Amino acid sequence: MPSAPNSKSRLVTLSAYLIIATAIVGYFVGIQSPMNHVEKPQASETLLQSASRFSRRIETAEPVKGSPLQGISLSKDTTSNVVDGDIVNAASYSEMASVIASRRQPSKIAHIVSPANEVDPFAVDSVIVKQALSTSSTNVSISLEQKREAIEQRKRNRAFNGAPPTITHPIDQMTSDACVACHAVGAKTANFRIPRMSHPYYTNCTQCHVASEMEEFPSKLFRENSFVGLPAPEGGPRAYPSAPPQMPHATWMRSECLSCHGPSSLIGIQSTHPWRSNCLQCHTPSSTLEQTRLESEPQFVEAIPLGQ
Amino acid sequence: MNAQESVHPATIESNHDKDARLQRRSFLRATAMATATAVAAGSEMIRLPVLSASDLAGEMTWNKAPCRFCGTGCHVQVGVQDGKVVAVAGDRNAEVNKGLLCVKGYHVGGVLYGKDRLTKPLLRKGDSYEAITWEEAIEVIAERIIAAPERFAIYGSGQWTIPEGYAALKLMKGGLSNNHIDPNARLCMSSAVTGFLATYGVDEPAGCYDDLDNCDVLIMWGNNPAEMHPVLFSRVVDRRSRGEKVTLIDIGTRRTRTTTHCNHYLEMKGHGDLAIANGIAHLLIKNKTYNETFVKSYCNFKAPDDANPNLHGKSITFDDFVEMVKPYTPEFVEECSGVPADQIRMLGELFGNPNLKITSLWCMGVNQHTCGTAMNAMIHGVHLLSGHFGRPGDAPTSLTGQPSACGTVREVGTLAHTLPGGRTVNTPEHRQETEEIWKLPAGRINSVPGFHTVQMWESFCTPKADGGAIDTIWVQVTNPGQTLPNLNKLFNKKEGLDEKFLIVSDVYPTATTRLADLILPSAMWVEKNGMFGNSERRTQQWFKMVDPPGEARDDCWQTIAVAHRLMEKGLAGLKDRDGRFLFDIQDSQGSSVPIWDWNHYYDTNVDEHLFEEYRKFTRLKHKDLAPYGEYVKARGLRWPVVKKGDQWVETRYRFVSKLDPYVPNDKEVQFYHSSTKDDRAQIWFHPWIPPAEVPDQEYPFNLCTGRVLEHWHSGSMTRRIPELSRAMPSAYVELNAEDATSLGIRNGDQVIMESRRGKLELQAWIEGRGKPPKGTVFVPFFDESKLINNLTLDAVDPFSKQPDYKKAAVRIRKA
Repeated sequence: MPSAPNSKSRLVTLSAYLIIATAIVGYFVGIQSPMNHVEKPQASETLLQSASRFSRRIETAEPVKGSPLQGISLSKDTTSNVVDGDIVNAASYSEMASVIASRRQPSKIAHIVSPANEVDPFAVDSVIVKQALSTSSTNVSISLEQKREAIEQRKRNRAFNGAPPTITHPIDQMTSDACVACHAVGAKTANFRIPRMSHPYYTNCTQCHVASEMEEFPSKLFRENSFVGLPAPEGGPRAYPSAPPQMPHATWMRSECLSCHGPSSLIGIQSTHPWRSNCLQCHTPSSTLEQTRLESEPQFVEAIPLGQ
Repeated sequence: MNAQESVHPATIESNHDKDARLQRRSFLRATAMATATAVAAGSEMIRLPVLSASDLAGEMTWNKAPCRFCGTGCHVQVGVQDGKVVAVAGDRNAEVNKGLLCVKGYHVGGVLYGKDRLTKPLLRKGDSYEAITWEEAIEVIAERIIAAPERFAIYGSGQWTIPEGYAALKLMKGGLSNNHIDPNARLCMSSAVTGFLATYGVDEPAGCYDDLDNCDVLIMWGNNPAEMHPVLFSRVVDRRSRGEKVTLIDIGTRRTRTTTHCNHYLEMKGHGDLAIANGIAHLLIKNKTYNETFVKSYCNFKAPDDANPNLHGKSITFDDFVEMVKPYTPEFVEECSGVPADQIRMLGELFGNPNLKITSLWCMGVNQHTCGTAMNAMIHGVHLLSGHFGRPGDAPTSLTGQPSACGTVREVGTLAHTLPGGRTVNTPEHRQETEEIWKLPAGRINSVPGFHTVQMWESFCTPKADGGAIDTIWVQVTNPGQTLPNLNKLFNKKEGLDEKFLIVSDVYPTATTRLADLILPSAMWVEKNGMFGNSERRTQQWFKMVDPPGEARDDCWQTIAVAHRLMEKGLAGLKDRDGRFLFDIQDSQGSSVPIWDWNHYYDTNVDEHLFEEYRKFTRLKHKDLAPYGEYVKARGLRWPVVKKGDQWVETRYRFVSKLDPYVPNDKEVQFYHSSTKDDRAQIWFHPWIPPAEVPDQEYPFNLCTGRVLEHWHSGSMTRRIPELSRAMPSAYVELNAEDATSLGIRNGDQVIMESRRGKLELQAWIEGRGKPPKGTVFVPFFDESKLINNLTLDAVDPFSKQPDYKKAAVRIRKA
């Protein structure tokens, strides 16, 4: 067989060098404005281009102020990559290992003031759990400020307390399969949070949850509306100061307590006692909010008449 | 524990408030009991449990109401605090939705609070408007009517509450002897009505939503319930999550969210449904799998009478029917509809299997169709022929788009040719019965049907000199300036016709108010008492919960106030034969409550009085309604509601023994309103014919219009709710990817679309919410800034007079 013309094989070699060079440079330099680039879409955008915008906004794990990253030492370069809590920029590949390591640290619910920061509070033999089991008091606390921050953050994509949250990222317009892929279980990293469904699985997700902004038709003028939604409660009623509070909301559509109060949720509304998992044991629902058809006042049989 | 102790005032009563709370509670209880007693006693002195802001300072109350939007009829719990709606929850005690809502329902509270609510009556002065008093506004209307009562028309709505529609109907037909009253539902479900009448002799579905829980196969005919009736759709698809097997079949003209849940997608060309239904009948007969016993016992056969087209058609024999469907082989059906012959055979086999339970659902795809009556009848026909009828899960179920299209339009009868309770103006006995209940002198009611919607607006847009017979139209609770077909012909021509006068009662400025001469601010939803009737014969009731803004007032009050002014001005028709006002309501002392005066409108429950009077009409067609008080207690009741012992009992299935109280136990099935008077339903043959306008070289695309999940109807409410508007800010044109490529159109490009009637610029969306097949495009109609009805066709069904919004030929190019 006659060999290929010389010029062709040279071209192949040349492009191979080019690819390797790009890979090496890319490894050290990284791609600085990758998946989360925000821009106004161009009118003449192609299908593929519009699809590439499909990773824009990601719900942040925490308000920036209360970020678990605070107080944890990261290399200077890495922290600068965490821009404003809304956008997660990619790190260069050479920094990947340290970034991953540093992100693992705060994912250990760093906000819980535990005796030793390094201890995993979920470990059965952790100091916290041991302490919790041996004494019924703990030192896990959430400040009112944190609670309000969490409520404020939830308000951003809810019309009122109890409204289905709108979706803060672009969606698949045709099916709900993609929703389930992430939200069936939920997840949390340092910089974003995928809330787990707070209710049992319903098939048609977009029936209740719609995009909070439409990727395809952005920036339109709206008619103003002065609806003021019911604010989220800051707590439930208690019989006495240290009694377990009654649930201030219905369990309907919010039956998975840990979706909002579990360790991967917003700090301000997390459980102060994550090692207890049978929530309804102590926290009772309200019959009004549950819409149970009960007498508005309890009914009793006549008191037994006692002799003098 | 040192966690936060704070307590939210909305949901929690703190301890030191306890005494006050207990006092308030016992007061509320006493009030509630007094109200209940008053209701039971039929007293005139009922004070409604209207929540005034002072009763409620800070406290949250929850009350039931049906959702304001579609015909599904979900119940919501409305949370009210300080005189404002602040939250909405799905009503867990409602059978329709069992606590679930769709995104529109969850955000329905926001519809009250758009910042541009209309709050004052406005009279046009040249190019602008002048705020006038209600007194003046009522006077303006009265004078317009008195000048020419026969040239006045009311254009109403399937969003009218039952009492509102009833009052408007009584004013027109009883007071003015004028039958020019028609609702927007003419554009929405009148073919469903004619389909039911042609088949069963009486309107509305025999089955109900319970069929969705029981069916093995659900066939959706040109229907996208995943977006349009999501709560009902979830009721079916969520069965799968519970491990049940249900086969979903989508017969449609484009891929939608519904399609992605379906086991089979049968993509058809416009009017392909006619061929498909005939194809199923052909296979049932050819394979001898039709239900011979059912057909022999309970059915007749009919075909259209071309010489004298009417809903009775001409009777044919079974053998004639066999001959007529003979040509509709699967291959021929494939040719007409574009659906592969094998898929037609699959449908034939499903209907031929007596062990399956099959439910059909349809809505606008079948109704907005120039053969809408035919297609409705034919879906009933395949169910009857195959015997898939009368068992829970075996039902042809037509859905409505508006919350009270059934309750107000079809049952009250606010159409140009109808009287309450299934009566018609051209039947002498029906006029007599109506005059009797209304205590009118004999002969008051006009026997000639009035103008149907398209005629009414065409006549309004035609100068008097050229024969236009309508001078004044009063529009209530609807938006014809956006929803009429071929707007340039039927609405926009009003501009500049100074002799014409348009009155619009609405809550927001709309595409209709832009040409209005008088705008009246209305109360809406829970700002007033109301009653709706949903798609499954369920009548629902709610009480006023908050005050309307500014000077906005109930539509029903507006009608009564005008009626009273007309009487004061000497128009004889506004008095009954005893000389009393048509809408006279007396208190327990026998003196009239001045309900025409807004300050006294809520002195009594006008809704209850009108409903109790209307209820007398409902027995004729066995659509018995219970007393008002029963609906106060229930989350709606499905008629006929009959009294058994001291209980009022609703009916889930009609025409079958043991389930329908009007079918004797010795008969299995009885179509007791049969148009052939023999207790049989009619199975219709209709031939396949092409659509009224088909694409050609000049206009090569078929335009289908419709809706999206986030917006309801013309969007005048939902586009003012930020969550919904942000999710779907504007109309768009959905294109097939291949068509787009060949036209050089890319996602997001502006596109010019033209039909023979109008032109519109829209943004292209390819591979978006839906996927139309090659040669077709889809545009939603909710956007008032992109009026797609400038392009649609005004061809109507010959029987129902309903236009076809799904088939118009258009051409498109990049802007």
